[in-house]
Amino acid sequence: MFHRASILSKAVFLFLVLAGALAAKAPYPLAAGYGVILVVAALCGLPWFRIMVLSLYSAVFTVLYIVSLRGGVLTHTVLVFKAITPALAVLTFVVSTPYPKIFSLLSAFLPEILASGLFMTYRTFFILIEMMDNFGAAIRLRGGFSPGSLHKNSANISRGIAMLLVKAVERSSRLYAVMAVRGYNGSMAQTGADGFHRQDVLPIGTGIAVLMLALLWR
Amino acid sequence: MEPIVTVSCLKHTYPDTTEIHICGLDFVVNPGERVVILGGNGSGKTTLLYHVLGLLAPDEGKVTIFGVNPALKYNAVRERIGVLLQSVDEQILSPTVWDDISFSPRNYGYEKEKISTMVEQVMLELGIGHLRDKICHYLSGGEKRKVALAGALVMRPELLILDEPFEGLDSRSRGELVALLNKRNREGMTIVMSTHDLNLVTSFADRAYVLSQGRGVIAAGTPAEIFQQSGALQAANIDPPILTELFLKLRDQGMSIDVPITVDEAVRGLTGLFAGRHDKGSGIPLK
Amino acid sequence: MTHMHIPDFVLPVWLWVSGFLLMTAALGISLLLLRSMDRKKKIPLLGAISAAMIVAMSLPEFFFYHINLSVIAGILLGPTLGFVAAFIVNLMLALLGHGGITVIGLNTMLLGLEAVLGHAFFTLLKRVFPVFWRAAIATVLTLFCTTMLLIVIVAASNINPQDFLHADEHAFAVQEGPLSVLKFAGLVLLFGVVGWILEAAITGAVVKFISQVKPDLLGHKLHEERHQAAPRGEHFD
Repeated sequence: MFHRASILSKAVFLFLVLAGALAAKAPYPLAAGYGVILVVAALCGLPWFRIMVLSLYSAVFTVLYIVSLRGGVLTHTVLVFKAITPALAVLTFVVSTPYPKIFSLLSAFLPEILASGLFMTYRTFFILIEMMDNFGAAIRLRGGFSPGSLHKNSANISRGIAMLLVKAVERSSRLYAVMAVRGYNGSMAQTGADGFHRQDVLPIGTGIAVLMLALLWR
Repeated sequence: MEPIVTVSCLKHTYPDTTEIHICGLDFVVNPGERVVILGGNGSGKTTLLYHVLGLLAPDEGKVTIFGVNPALKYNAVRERIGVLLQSVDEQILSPTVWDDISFSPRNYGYEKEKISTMVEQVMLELGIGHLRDKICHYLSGGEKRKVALAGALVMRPELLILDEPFEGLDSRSRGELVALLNKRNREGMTIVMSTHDLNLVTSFADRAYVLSQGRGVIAAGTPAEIFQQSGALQAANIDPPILTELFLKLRDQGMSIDVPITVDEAVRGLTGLFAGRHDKGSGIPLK
Repeated sequence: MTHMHIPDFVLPVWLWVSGFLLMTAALGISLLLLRSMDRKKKIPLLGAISAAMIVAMSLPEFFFYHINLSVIAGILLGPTLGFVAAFIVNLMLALLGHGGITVIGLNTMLLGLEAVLGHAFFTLLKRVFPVFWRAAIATVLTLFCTTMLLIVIVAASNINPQDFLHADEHAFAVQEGPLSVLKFAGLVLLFGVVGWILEAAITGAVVKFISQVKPDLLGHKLHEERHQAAPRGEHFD
């Protein structure tokens, strides 16, 4: 159901969760909000475990930061949830929305060069991921990875990255030339977003629930 | 004699949930053999080779290379294996040709002089000595393929694995390459090659395996045995060699003639036919 | 440790709002400087380098560290387009839950500054060192500066503890007293030094490789074309 909701409703969901995280003074409501988003994601068939793990990355900086703080455990915990709850909301938004729709929304308010750059980055990224896998395989098969040898491994990874950069520029130029020949003039085929519809109840409802938890549970 | 490679009933699931099953007959490579894997697009040739090289781990089934599981212990046997993958552009890792060919021996810690001898020798064999100091990035497709092959051969591996090695090579370069591979094979190197070009099988393979999408290994045997199994070739979306196709059509027209697998056999068969006799000793016997 | 992407709401509101405003101003200036660029060359280059940065960041190295190629972005793209690449990378990363949405400003200022300083140091060291060392030293100097900036940002977060440590301190047994900036600085410098050396070695090797294979990418011709006053009609679009 999250998939079928409009991008506008999911943007509102994101905004409400961010507002909730900003307003929260205690860890419990945010922990509950985190749980609510996770349950909704699981019920909607989204890869809940994967996005949960990814959301925890934002805790790394937070943990490093709070070990330097003279606060109690609860203060530290609220900071961790302030970081990971919005991260989970962003990931839920991203995994349930096709990228063209996200770019369409962003193109509506980003300057053209940024929108074009973002689009080219996205298109090139997938080409490069596959290419980097192939470079990694070649390095491994040709004896370039030696367990325990940081110097050798770094030198060989550098070769892979250098080749990647050179190829990236070529591929990207070719891709842009093809797009230009086919009529691309810097703007997305579709910009902005469609209006709200019935399926939007779920993301907006989830966002409101997280915000209410933060505001009312003190 | 222990086989070098064994693969039995492989199942692999890609991240996009595409499942590849390579069951049916076992895939076995014995020392000193030249083995060709035949199959159309999507039949699982590259998947099979990636499992043999430990680049993919199977969900089900068993893979061994030199007696070890490559997904876990490839490093233990890597110096004994040379590899040329399909995308040569992504296999070249160094700025100059010399640098790239010497990549493996340098990483394996060989002495400078020894490396120099190894690299010069393989460049000479492949006829690419003139490219020594060239920047790899600006070489032609065929030259890049030769440089990548030199990188695979430089360690004089016991087993050479080639994934569609003749793509982008002109017929003269192909011929030279087949001759070089045959020479290395006579010196004891085992070769496994995937291709969809049946014409190569006759000039190269001791044994061939036919892979079909969704059915795995559906035929195995000598080239002559494989060419008899036209149903298997059809199931694998492979066109038989022009020579075979021609003689099958002649036979369909009512001519009493064996189906040859080499041009020499065809010449002998046709000469015999025109001379009013039939050389029963050559080619695939008429069924 | 500038490669740590700051998540949402860890820092006080005034700080991330300031970061956002600063980034908007810097992006505005960059776009102004780039308005007459050769789109055919620069948009693909921007996409390629930004995508390569994200791919490089996804390569595992250490638990706390990943390569980010920001200095290389500065060297290859120049300071203005390098800053734009930093914004694109941070926006993409934020969409992957890697760094917060609200702190895109601060994260872009950090990463963008690495591109700007990286380019500046690399240019300043011209004729002093061979290309590997030029790139490596430029990387160490750049990462030192931006790590210091990160420490300054964290120190600045202590200016108004009420904003940062919330009103309801007693309920959560918050101990009175300022943030231990020295402790934080010690940690990020400790982890940072290893990262700087690794990133410097990789940057040096990559730039040396590019100088051998495709030296035109280092020639900055792309950055100078603006001054050649190409007529508007000649632009790719």
